[in-house]
Amino acid sequence: MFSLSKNRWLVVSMGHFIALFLITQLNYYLAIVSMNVIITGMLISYSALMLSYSQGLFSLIPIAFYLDSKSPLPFGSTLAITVALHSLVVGFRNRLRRESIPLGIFVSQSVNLLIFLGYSFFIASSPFGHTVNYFHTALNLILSSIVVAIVNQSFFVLQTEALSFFGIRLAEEQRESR
Amino acid sequence: MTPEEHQKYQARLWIFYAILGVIILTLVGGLGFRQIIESSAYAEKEKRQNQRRILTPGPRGNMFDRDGRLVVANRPQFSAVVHLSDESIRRAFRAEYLALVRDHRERGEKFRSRNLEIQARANVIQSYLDNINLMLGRDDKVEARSLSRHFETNTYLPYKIIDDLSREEFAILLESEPINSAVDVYVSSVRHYPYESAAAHTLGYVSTSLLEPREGLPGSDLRTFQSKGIFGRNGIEKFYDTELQGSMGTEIWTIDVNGYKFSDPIQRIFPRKGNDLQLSLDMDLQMVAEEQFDKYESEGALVAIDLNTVEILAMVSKPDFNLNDTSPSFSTRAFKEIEERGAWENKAIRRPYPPGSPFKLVTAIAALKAGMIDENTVFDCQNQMMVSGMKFVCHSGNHHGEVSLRDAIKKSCNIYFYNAALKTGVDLLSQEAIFLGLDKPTGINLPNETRHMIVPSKEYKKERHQASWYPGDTANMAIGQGFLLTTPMQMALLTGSIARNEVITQPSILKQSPKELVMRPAPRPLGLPPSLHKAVVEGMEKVVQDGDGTGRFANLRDVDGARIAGKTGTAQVRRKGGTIEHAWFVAFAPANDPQIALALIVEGKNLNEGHGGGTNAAPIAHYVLRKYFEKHPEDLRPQTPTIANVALP
Amino acid sequence: MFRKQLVQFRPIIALVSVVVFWLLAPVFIKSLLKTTFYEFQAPVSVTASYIRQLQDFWSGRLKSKDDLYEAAQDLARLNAAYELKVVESISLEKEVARLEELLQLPSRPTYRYEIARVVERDFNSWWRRMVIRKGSVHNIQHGAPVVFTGGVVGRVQEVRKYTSVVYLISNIDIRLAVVLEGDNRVISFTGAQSTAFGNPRGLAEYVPTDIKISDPRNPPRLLTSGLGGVFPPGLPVGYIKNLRQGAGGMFLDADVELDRRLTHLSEVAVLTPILESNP
Repeated sequence: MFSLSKNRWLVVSMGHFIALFLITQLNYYLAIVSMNVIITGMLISYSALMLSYSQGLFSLIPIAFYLDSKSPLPFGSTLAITVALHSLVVGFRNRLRRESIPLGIFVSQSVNLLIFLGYSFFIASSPFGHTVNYFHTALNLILSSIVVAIVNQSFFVLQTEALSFFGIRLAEEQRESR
Repeated sequence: MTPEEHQKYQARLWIFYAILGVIILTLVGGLGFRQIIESSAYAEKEKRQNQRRILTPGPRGNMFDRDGRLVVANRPQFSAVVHLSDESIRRAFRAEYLALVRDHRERGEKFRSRNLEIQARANVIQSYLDNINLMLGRDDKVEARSLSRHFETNTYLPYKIIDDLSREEFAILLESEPINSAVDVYVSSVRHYPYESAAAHTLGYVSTSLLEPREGLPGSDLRTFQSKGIFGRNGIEKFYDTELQGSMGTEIWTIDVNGYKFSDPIQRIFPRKGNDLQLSLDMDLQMVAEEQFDKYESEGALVAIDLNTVEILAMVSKPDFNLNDTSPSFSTRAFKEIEERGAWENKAIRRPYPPGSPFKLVTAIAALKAGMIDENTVFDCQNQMMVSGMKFVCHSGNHHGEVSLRDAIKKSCNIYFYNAALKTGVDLLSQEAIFLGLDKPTGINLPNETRHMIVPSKEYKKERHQASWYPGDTANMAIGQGFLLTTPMQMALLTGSIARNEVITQPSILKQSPKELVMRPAPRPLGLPPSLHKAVVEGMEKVVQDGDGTGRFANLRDVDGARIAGKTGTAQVRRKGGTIEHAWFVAFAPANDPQIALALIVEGKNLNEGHGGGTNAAPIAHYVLRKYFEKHPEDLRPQTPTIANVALP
Repeated sequence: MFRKQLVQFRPIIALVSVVVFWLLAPVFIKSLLKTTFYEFQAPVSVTASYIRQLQDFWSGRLKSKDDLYEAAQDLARLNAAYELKVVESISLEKEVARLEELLQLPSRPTYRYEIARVVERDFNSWWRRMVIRKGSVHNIQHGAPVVFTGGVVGRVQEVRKYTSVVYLISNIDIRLAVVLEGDNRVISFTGAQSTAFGNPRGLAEYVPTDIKISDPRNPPRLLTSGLGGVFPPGLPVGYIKNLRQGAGGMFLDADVELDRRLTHLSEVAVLTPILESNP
């Protein structure tokens, strides 16, 4: 029988998708000044810190495919970066206080930074690598970091609320597991 | 283990430790030596192994005429190229090679790896070319051997698969080929001559070759790949090759073990265009002169000089060739065709001719300077005279009667000049010709000026012909025949010297800056008193102005109101079966304030055919001088001193 | 014990499995996945664009009647001017057709304009692309030129069912054969490095050395050459800035300043050539 608790990645994935949709709308207007916000780090951070490894992975794979489908990079680039970063955060999370808000922001920012580096790496290895303006990339990173810093806590809360709406209480589960 | 045994083993252990210690010390020492002492040598070796240098010659400088019109330029040549060092191409080569090997094995055929490699490369590049052919509607084919040669020797240089794309085809490729495709568009420079055959010998042509890289380019110790450059083979292209040559560009690339280039060069110096040259040629005059030669398919040469600056205004040599046939490549067919027509030679500076009657002016000057004649001296012309028992005649059976200097020049009376020369003597005559610079090259800044001009003398004849000098030789020399040989260039300078009453030398094919004009060698005075000089000039004026002057048919009486002074001539050259007559004409204008001097020769075509300077050569001068004064109406008025005038006091 | 150790390495095993699977996955699977995921989210993006259009509509409704009246008057004036231009254009077209017939020249291709709203703008330091609300059902073709009132926008790079992805000409992988206004020598144009808060830029190569920027306020303008077969001739591309020595030594390179409006377009036109056999 289908259990939403065992398939909580669906809820999280949907939340991620809505967040991305909203950011896409923001980017529509930011394009006027050639700026762009990336919040994928925040999504990975939530999935890696709040869900089990496999649930987190499942929640991120559709999102990575969605991003890949809209990116000119080779299909699968975002998937590789996302899975790698998710695995990395999961590897470290036992040493961290996952429910801490500042820590969530720190992880989101760090992962976002690594995503920028990953994308830059893919672009740099392409024939057009030399055309990337790294100052512009840095400006986008700073703007993305500001946006993540502002919305990270709300996003985490909203995602957790959405899960609890479906009877999945992450805080209780985490307490019990300790 | 007993204590004894333990001690025994302990001792062995110490030996082992010692050996181990020595080995480790050797290793550490060796490592230290390599890392610290020899590190720079290894770094150098690594650099040589991992880096490649690509040299690209810079485009040559342009040439402009004295009015700033482009005479020699670089034309872009659009090509489609493939970069054989690209990883994708090499992978495709490998895959195709393996496929060919598999095919041969399946068919049980024997094969040579080398042949299959060549075939594989050709197949891959042909597939790229087929795509382009489809796009452009062409049917180009890859030449397998040349491709493989390029791959093996010039891997890092682009390989041209189509080297003559039109503007439209270039545009189609630009928009259709993906920017990261193995096929790229490439633009190289080839020499272009907008005036085609005009001044072909003067401008010269170019060839392609590997050029010597200049000193100081980085990476001289690296394995180098170099595109062919262009160098001057003749004319100004050769003489000023160093100035025109662009500076070579360099790219140093790091390559991996398989020989693939990394994405960006580690060092890049862009090639730079060579210096532009401004020539002294006036293409209007040049074209007019060439048109006149071409009108009657005449062969010969013409030189026109600006007398203020001693710059060459026009230099014609016929037959000539279309310079665009030599660029970007010179086909064997075109080369042979030029050779068959005898069109290689720049007759203006290369071919010595007997000067004919214009030399009578030198005879007159020598006699006047020696005091053997004066402006009023009269000789009686009865059409012929005996010299040392031999009959010497005046031309065309004329009886000129008593002729003065002016009339002798006007009518080109041989008898007058025989007498004048015999009175003056060969020594003074030769001396005067040498003084006027007829014995040596003019020193024009062009390559291959002949050294075979001759001003004969007693010594010359003795040395070259082991014979004594006879008065008959003097008589022949007096009218520009005999052993005398001069080039049209020399004759133009001679005319200019007579015009200015001073010996001018070292003509220039480049337009001179005011500074260069001041630095020019000061001309020597000719040595004729003004009244005698005036007599010679008046005689020359009469040649074209008077109804019975030898140049009367040239219609030079009224060239935009300029007074023209000239001298016609017919030089006879002995050939098997008779003589060929070449028509000479020398002139300067305005006679009262000379600005331009010219000399031209129209070669006779057939044996024993009458050919005269007045009818065959002087009309060409008419058009050239008319064009000159059309462009310089100010020269018809008395001149105020200019920098050039100051330079030539 | 072994199972516990395996659990510890699960993230790494999963990562490696995903990467290996991805490297070995056939291309058609990747392609199918890409299309599926794209088409799955497309309606959402399209809906968002409709909502934006509605927003514009309502913001227009909020304008005062005076404003609307003035705007309508301006529009009427513009329409009158355009009507005149249309008449002029028709007569010129007839003249061109007559000359083409006289000189037996092949007639120049004519284009169908497909107007499309911009659904998404994705401009960052790596790429500059936009999604438009017209796709294969509207007969949009891959590689088709995209223009707006100010000149060239870019080329269609991906065509989906109801949407298409357009690469802006400021992208490095877009190349055009252009000419300078009043000149017919072909120049290569490509996109250039991105800049934040500035005009989009491009790079012109093979600029003849006799080209100068005599008046910086009125720099030379680049137009499409029409020779490449993709763009019709005469469409503005950008203005030449900062000429410098080119790579081969024979030509100049130049920075090209593109139209500022390229970054905030909300409507573009996709050109489709009309074949003679299909009038």
